[in-house]
Amino acid sequence: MSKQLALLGGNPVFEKSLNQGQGYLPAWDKFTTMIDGIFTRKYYTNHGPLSQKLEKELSYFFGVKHSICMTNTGIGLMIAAKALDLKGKVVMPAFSHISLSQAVIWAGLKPIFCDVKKDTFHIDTDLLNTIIDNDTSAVLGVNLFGGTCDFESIENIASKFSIKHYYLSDDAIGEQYKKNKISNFGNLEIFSLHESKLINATDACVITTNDDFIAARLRNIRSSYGSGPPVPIAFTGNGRMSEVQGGMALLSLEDSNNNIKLNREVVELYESYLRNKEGISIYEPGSFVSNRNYHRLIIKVDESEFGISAAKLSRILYAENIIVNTFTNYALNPFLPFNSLTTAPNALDLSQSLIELPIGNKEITKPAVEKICDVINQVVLNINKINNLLND
Amino acid sequence: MKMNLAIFHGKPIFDTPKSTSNLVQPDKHKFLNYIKEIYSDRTNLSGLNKITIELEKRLAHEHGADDCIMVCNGLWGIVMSIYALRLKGKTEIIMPSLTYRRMADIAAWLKMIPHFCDVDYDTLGVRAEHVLPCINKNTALILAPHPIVNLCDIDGLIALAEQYNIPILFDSVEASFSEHKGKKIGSFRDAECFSMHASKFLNGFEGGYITTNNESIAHQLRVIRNNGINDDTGLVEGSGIDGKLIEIHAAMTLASLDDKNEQIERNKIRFLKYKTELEGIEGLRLMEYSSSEKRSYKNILVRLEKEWPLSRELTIKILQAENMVVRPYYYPPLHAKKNQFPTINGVLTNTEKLMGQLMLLPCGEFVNEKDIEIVANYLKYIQQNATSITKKLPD
Repeated sequence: MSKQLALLGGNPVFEKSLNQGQGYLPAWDKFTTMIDGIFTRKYYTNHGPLSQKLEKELSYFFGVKHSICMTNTGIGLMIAAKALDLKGKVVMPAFSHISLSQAVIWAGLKPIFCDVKKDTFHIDTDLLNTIIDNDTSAVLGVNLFGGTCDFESIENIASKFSIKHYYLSDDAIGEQYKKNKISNFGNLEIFSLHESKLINATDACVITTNDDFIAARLRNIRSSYGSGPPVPIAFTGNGRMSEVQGGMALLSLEDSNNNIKLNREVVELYESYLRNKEGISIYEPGSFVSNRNYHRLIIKVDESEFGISAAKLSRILYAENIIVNTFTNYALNPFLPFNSLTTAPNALDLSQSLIELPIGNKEITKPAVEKICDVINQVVLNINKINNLLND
Repeated sequence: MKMNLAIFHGKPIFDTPKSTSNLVQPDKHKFLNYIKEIYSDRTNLSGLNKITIELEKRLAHEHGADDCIMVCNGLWGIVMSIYALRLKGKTEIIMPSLTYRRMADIAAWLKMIPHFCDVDYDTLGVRAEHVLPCINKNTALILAPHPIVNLCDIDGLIALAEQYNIPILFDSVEASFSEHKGKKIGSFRDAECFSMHASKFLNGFEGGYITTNNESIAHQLRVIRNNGINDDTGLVEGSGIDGKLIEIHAAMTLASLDDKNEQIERNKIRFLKYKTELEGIEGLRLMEYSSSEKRSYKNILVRLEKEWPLSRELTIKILQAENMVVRPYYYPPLHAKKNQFPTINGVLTNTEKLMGQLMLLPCGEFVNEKDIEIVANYLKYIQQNATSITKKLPD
């Protein structure tokens, strides 16, 4: 099949915009049954029965002692920093969503950015070793795109400097690193339950830890409901999850194995089409990762080989109603606290060269993937025309 | 009549708790209808989609405000509002001590200092005369919560704020759909904050919103709510948090809003029933809603006067044993808590007096007129038999 690109005057390959992110939802009748239950119990929030059940099931799923659910990841990150009693500086990867640095600042801390490795996209632990100073109280690692940080090195560094280490592990739900379930690393880990993730509460997050004291502090700061025995904290926040968020996540958890299977089929299909495309490489989690969830597919566009930049490719895909994620907000921010990124060349490069292709939503099926990859083929065939058009 | 009180091991009069939470249940089918379309589209249920937009329009209209910004919950709504409104570089927030138990913590998240002021003994609201002595060169904002019944001194406070050029934020969580001199709550000055926690007037499961007539504040709040990112340009404009309301909570709120007028009627019936039943009980004063202005009548608050024969704490204990989840009003007041961050106390004469006198009685959808008769009978009984009750209690 070949088509005229929408950018060059053809019709968009998809009539309606393709949805972004996982977006798997439980069947409508399951949703309404869950709502019936809430309306019968008349228990709407405040750590109700569904939230409690969810925390139990997530602890089992993650193989961790404590799971503490909250309203969303940003607020979870703010409360986590308070629960860990951090002071001064927190080092985090220069390639990370702005919500991380925002949350760290709200918690009264200074974010310090450490560049990532060119090949793994994860925090460069050699560099990390040189960045930590006396004012640093923690490393906030990010496990991205189904891959992971170099946990052992971070653990060693944290112990050498006697600082804490915690992780944002949204993309690694259900995965294992050297046969250990992700959720058991560092002082705590945070997993988003946003609709774009594998477990979908529409939005929410869960914080996992094996540390009883940190768990108690998280619960005390979150809300007075479900707070458990009181422990000393600086002040409270409000991180409550509602019963409908809990109910959605429970249904999503039921579907997660099946959704991983669907994801895997799509990822393998993309790989078969894009594997040998010049100038495009597909992100692969390291060999230590098992039980992959296949929930994100990231390609790196090498402009010199592919012919156009990731930004231009994403514009072309947009014109076809293929909405793709780009990562400009992961590194380049004109906002003052974040503009010191000239020292993080790899993060800068990644922010300009990565694209996330759609997976999930049950609408990204074999024919859809074929159409998306065909658009990329057409781009290759029309590189000169596109460059002329987009350079004007 | 002799009652076998549960505190003396009798059976509680109510099988299930009668709480002070509103817990209004909107029509389930209306709620599902609001969510159905975007559910079948299968995306953007996490927020800032059509339901949120529709709700913002409707609430702005309902409150007579130019704009409304939905947020994930009331606490962060106040945090974001203060962040947007405060005089930059100043550190103190003037707020009453007798208010929402997390209000001082809100200041701590902002790295600001709560400066506690007094309230009026009769209305329980802040007046200009209470705020004035707290104003100094560090004042960044006046935070004026409406008390649980009726309103604070809106006119006096606005005049004071204008005189000193200090922004004023109304916490209107407990004053939803009331009016002041015919003008709707939600339409006053710089901004007003509301909550849709299930215990509040509108049940959205969880959530909050801010009404404002200031275009620049509305813009700033939308950016702050979105991690500091301006959604139109994709650029980071400043500090922000993850403050979005999820669409399902917005849908629940819309369904609750559909029931607004009916709920006010139901609340009013409960309030009037309490008024009748509590009349003549010595030492117990029902805090009455204004009869000349629009109110939503959600809460039932009483003040125990000096003639009341028992302490408030003991009274509460006796009633709670009967499954009446009676609660002290904003206790402890914020100045009496052991805070782990700096605070400043103003003169708190009325607060000190009131802190042991006020009590919230069961209200909301789980309470019917018969229940109110029972609650009132228990209060009468306690009042008449205080001496024998006290004698029977272990020290």
